[in-house]
Amino acid sequence: MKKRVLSLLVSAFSMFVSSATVAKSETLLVFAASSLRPVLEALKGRAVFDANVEILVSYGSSSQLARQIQLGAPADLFLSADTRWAELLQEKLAGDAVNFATNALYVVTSHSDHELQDQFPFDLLADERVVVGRTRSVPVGIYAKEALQSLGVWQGVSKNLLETHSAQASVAVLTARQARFGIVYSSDLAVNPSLQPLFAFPEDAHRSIDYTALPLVHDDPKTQSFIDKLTSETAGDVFLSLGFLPAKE
Amino acid sequence: MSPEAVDAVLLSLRVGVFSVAIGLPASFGIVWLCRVLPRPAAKALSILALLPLVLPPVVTGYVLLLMLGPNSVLGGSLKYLGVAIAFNWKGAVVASTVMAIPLMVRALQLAWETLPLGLTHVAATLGASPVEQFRTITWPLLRPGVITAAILGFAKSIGEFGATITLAANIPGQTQTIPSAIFDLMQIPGGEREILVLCLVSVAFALGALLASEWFARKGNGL
Repeated sequence: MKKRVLSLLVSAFSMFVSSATVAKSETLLVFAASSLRPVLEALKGRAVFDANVEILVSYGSSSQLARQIQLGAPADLFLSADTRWAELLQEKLAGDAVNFATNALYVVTSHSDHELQDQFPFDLLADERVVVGRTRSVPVGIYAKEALQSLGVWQGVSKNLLETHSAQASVAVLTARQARFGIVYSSDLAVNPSLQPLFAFPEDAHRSIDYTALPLVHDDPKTQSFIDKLTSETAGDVFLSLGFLPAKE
Repeated sequence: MSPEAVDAVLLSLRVGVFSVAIGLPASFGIVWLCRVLPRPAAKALSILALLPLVLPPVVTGYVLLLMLGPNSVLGGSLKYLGVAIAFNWKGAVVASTVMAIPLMVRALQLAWETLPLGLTHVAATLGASPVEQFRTITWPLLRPGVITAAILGFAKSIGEFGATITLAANIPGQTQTIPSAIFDLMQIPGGEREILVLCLVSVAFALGALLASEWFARKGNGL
């Protein structure tokens, strides 16, 4: 009996070891801003990228991913929702940053009893919880703070903010109807029909929301191919259909 | 279940097995050292081993990252030898092991403290060698404690979150364990179904571990 248990343990152990060392086909490890999840999954689903490369994507807030890269995470490519990280990661960069899309900022509601307004809906937001990414670290939160400040409503709204750790986390709180209002990207609106736009922030109220691809491995054909596909016309159509805007020249 | 969720379950199991395989002997060594070392050193070792139990897990993870990250001396040397710990599944094993060791050490310490020392002395007077004393007296009495330690360690390490996500990050298929997959899915609108499945898997593992410990305990009493 003891011997059987022991041999079972040994075989289980060796199985785990061997499964750990079996090399998969070529893989590309992408760290991506959480707001890119719907579009990257759609592009993967439509087989836009190389079929013989397995693409692994770790989603998170751009700031958290940038920190992990800075600490040595083995990502091949970083897709950031904020170009400022390119400067922070200067010494890790292995090629030119390529901007591939932009986004816009909206005040949205998870309840359908409101309509799109021309003016910032200060009266609605002054006494309600407003969900947004962290205004100090998560790009969507940083942009939202800039926009609220430039409209002169930061003082009034900031005390009600419910700050989450990524753009997608804000959307999840809203779609679960755990909060009534939030500030999200136009791309979040496009894929979540339960969210209603309430107010579109004017484009000049915040820095341009540029998505940028930062290669982290020198002369890597599979990374380059991924960037090429990401900036192709086919991908561009998918980006547009999911609420993103074309990259600025 | 999605392929990513299956990967997360398999990785959690793998982390659990490795954490016990590495952590249990280590805990045994720590408990033994605590008994043979001079008191101040034993106290210091015991406190160091138990520290992860009371520290915020993210602190443990961050300290491990500073020690084992590719930019550190130790992590850099390991990297030179081709061993990556941080942001790798091995990092998940290291984090879980460090988090599980306090539980295993506590369980082993308790088992050891209840050993009736008189028995081994009696055996010695009857001519039993130290090896025989261990085989016939110490080990059978210690065994339930060792099994409890292994099961506690396994259950802890398949569910460890804070230190793991800090040291190993959350890369699907590579370092994403069950809890980090659930954390990830909570940020996806419509991820509720998959979350439920992973929660049920976690409950099944926890129940399995408890039932196994019950079974071993009963078996141990029958001796």
